Amino acid sequence: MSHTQPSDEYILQLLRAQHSAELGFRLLMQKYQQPLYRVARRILREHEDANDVLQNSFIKVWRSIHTFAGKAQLYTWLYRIVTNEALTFLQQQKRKATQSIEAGEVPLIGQIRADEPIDGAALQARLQMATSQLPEKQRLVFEMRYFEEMPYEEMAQLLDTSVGALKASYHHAVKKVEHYFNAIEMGEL
Amino acid sequence: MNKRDEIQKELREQAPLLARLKEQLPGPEEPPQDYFTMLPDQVWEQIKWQPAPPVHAAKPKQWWQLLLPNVVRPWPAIGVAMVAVLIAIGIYWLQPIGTPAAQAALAELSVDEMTAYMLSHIHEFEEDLLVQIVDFQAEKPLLPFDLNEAETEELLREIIKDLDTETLEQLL
Repeated sequence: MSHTQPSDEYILQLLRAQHSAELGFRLLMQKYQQPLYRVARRILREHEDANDVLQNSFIKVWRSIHTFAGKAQLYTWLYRIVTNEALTFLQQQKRKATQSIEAGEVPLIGQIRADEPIDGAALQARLQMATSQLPEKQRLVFEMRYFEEMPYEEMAQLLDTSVGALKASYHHAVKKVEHYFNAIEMGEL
Repeated sequence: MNKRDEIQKELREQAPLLARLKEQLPGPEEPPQDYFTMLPDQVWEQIKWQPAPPVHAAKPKQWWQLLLPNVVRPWPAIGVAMVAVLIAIGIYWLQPIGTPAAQAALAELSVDEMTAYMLSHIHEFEEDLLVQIVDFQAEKPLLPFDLNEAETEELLREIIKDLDTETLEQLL
């Protein structure tokens, strides 16, 4: 994200006025569509699924932008909506998958321990499972740093917090995720 | 060292296993070309048929919200404070004597003090009440019915001197 992007305050101001709401919403999408797409894509893997979820999420944002109280940063709020949409989508897929397993197909999560070395998709799925155990803020920081490779300064701007606090959150998050993987290796999970 | 290397170095120091796993991860999968150029239009196509989000209209203010800005100005605030003080004084002035505070003060009086007070204010007490209580205390009529007012008063004075604390408190 470049620094020439419109500020969140400006976007929200445009959204609040009837005549400029469309412009405000288009700016919001342009500013956040790429990081939000990557969040959805990481959870869902397939572009088509990520696209469906992202479009639904933006429609939800449009419907409920008036409920955004400004207590959290805008990106945190959007991230939460996309994550919830993606997880709901996964649950729906899981229900369908249960029917497929009964029909003899092997689910991805079942391949994780069986296949060595782990293939990229299975590793992504395992990481997704590990990060889902983290508190929301740590999960967000972990995703931004580990997957997006975002500098702390940029994260601090997006989440309106200090670099020190972000470093601490990331440290806790990586320790927990690593502990999760170690537990799998030790056969505890 | 570029930013990516810095992030990887930090990860190796904090969580070596995660650093190794990261190297096995596939690179970020890119969406089809022009996806991000077209997405806002695609979303807007679906949205424009839906009702616009409610504009943040100011909620109608409550009566106290309208009053508050006026009250907190110096002169109206002093006026309101004066009225409040006058009301408090009025309430205190009109308060009946038999309040819990008055009863607590009464409980601290000694028998001698109560007796002295009653004797010096005997005209303020209703004679019938005094007679009734004194008779009840004695469990039999002490006061002859044929006494005149002066004689009754004199007799009551004598009896009051001998009353116990509980009865005195009851009379007061």
